[in-house]
Amino acid sequence: MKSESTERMTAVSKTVETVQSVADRKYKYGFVTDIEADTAPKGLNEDIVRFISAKKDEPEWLLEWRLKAFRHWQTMEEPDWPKVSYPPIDYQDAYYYSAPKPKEGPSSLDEVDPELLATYDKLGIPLHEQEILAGVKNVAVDAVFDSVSVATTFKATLAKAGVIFCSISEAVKDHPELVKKYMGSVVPYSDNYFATLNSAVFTDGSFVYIPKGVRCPMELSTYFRINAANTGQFERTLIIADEGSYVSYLEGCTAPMRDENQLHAAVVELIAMDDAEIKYSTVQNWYPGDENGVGGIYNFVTKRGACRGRNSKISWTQVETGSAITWKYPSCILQGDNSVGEFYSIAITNNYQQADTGTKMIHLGKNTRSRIIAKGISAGKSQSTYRGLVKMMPKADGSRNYSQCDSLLIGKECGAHTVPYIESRNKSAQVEHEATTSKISEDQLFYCRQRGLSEEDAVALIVNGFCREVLQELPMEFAVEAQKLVGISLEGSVG
Amino acid sequence: MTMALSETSQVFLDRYAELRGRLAGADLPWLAKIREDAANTFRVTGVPTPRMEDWKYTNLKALDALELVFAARPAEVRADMLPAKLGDGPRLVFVDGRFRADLSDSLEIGEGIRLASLADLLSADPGFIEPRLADFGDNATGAPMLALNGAFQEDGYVIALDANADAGAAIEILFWDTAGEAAAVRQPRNLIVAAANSRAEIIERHMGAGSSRQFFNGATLITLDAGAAIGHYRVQSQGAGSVHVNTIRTRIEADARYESFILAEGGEVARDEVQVGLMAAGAYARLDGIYLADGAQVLDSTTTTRHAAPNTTCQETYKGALDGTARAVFQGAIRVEPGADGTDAQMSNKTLLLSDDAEIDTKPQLEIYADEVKCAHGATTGELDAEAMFYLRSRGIPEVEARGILVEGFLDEVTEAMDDTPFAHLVRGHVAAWVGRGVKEKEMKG
Repeated sequence: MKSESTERMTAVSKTVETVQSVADRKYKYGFVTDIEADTAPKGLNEDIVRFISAKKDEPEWLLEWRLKAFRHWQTMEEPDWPKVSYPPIDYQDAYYYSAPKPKEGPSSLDEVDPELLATYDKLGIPLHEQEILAGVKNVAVDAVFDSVSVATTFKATLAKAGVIFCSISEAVKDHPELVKKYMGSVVPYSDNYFATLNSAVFTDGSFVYIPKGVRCPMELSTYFRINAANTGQFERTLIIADEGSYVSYLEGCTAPMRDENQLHAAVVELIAMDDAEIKYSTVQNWYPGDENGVGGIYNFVTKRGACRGRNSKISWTQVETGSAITWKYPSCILQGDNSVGEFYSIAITNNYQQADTGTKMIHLGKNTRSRIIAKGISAGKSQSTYRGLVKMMPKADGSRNYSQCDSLLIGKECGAHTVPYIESRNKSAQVEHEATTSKISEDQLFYCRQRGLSEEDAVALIVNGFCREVLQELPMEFAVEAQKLVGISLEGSVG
Repeated sequence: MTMALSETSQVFLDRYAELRGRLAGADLPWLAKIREDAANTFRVTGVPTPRMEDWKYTNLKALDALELVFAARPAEVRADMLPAKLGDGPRLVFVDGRFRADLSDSLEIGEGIRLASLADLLSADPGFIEPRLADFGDNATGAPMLALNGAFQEDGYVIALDANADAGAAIEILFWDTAGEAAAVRQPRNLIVAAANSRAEIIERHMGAGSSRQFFNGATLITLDAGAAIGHYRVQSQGAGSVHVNTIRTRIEADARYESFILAEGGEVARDEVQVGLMAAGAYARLDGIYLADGAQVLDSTTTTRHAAPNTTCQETYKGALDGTARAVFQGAIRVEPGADGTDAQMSNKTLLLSDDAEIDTKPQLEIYADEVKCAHGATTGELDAEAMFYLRSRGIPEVEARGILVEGFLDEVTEAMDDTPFAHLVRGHVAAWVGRGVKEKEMKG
């Protein structure tokens, strides 16, 4: 551990260095790198940040914001408190920008890894959709549905309702006033190591604005946003639900996602005004590494929602089955009186996966309510941790929280951990927390096996029952696939 | 990496350097080494700060404001100034951290039972003490207060039970503080050694004359061999300006039972920490506590239970009531090691907030590496039930009294589990006095 003064010294000397380097370049906006290039050179420095900003043709305020974040990031230390371990990340040994390139995909499904296809089958993904997921050439997303172009229909429907749904880069160009007003207002650029890194180098993500009184006519999903076929490494999503509006947003999909970038550091900000409601559902199935723990995505995500208005509501639902390491705490700041925060989570780890996930519910307003249902399932040699905070501030009169964290262990070599923090500074606020840890009951397994289910099917059935309360929070189409995913994620964990 | 130590931490290290040659047993090389190692461990972090996860909620900066006095206070204490004995058993009395044979009572209670002061045994029978002090991990990083105690250790109580010995009536230990403006630094180190199938009940009382003020940093090291049973009951009612840190480390072998109870109500900042290791099949621990805080008190109850072998059990219930601007902290960690199948661990923490400015910070924690386990924890915080209050009020019971009835009822879950012993009476008396303190004030005013 470093002493405060040593840290301060380091910070001071870093600041001096930074200022010096800036002075040397005389704040010129000239670029050392060739902005015509499709890929920025390896490494991370102010020039790379400028390169990204220039590539995206961003206004100056955004570049300044990115640079502020970058300079702050240089003074920060990577957090070591999560219960996860991984070799040190060399942030200079990575590319921070590469233009999406048309990929040279396989020409038919025959050329696709059969293991991947088997998984698609188990998930029940239709053939056309499989082709898109596998990146087969000349298959457009539109082909998912037979006749009409989904994209066109759905854009028209949204436009009619006045909903803005576009990439964050488009939003910067087309709706700068909204982006400027809200971006960083929930997760400030200085928030934490990974969010700060994201603020400096984010390249993609979604922007949603639901105008007053509008109920978004359809579930929004990155999956349908045409130009989001390649999700970025540093995504940034901003969703604003204006007074009295409603939106349900789906992130990710159940199909296994392979990506060559190992580090993913996304930021998601949600803002709900008076009487507005945002429902945010995630299914995360990034590559978890192989059964020996080699490879896999590091998923370090900052997700936070602000219930700014009275009677507003933000609900997070997540099914986390992928990634070698998951580090995320979707949170709610309950500012408006009577606002509601919810967190429903399933985290499944198998083989050598590590997940440290949970939520924070910060109760500021009167009569605010929050509910936490977290289900952790550990198998193989994996480690799963629930980490959460419920905080009742002095003005949160009459507020309530209920938390339930259940862990299920499958096998002798995995771990399940629960680390809840409860801080109450209001006597009329009620907090209830319960946690249990158990294993799959032999009786239940025997019962299922006796009725002819294979061991894997039996485990999937029991685990699905264990997760029921969370699964039922997912939008229907998602829920069906997620149930299958639960089974697939645990393959090879028994017997 | 060295760390800039706080002024108070440096004071401790300076005093250690000055006193080490004069502490009891300073001529024993093994003891000098334990002290030196402990001092070096303490030097790594100094007095813990909220930047350490284990001390996130409890800040010992109150120590900085105390005038610390290391020497004995020249106060005269007579037997009639002390609270009456609780029962028929023996009583060991420590005044300002020093054993007082003249105030203690009936120490010879039978064959195979040894009651003594650590300082006396260090000169009379160091061979008995050495192995017992040696392996309790004073140097474990992350326990700086235990290390600080280790550096200064010289007196405390020793209770040693031979195999099959039964101490009978409860053994009472009274830590009595004399009055004074400056804070007397007291760092007793106690040993409870229970050989196979022995049993004893031990009652510790921490209290003092009206305006007493101490920095108490105690440590108790306990071993229970197979089949032993120890009840370890404490009441902490130290003077208002005191800082109290007590660390108990217990190792429980096969089929042995350790029961710990703490009633915490004294001090400005106080922490009672129990670390339990369940080392062999059938080991059992019960950890209960009540905390009652008012004014600007901070009362911390921290427990760590390590299930290191199959088929071990731990039950834990902590409850408290907070008034004024008081704050309570509960940290309860249950760790189940790989292979500790058959673990049964239950933990519950419930807190009543009686005022607008009281605060509770609670952190029940499970860390589980085995799958054949039953582990659960629960935590609640809230205020008195408005309907129950209305019910009592509608029957003509004044508000303060109704509040008292409900608080006592809330704490019953813990006190009811206790057998009808002198200690149970003592606890109920303390609870009744605490909930009744408002009534008295009101009566006096009114």
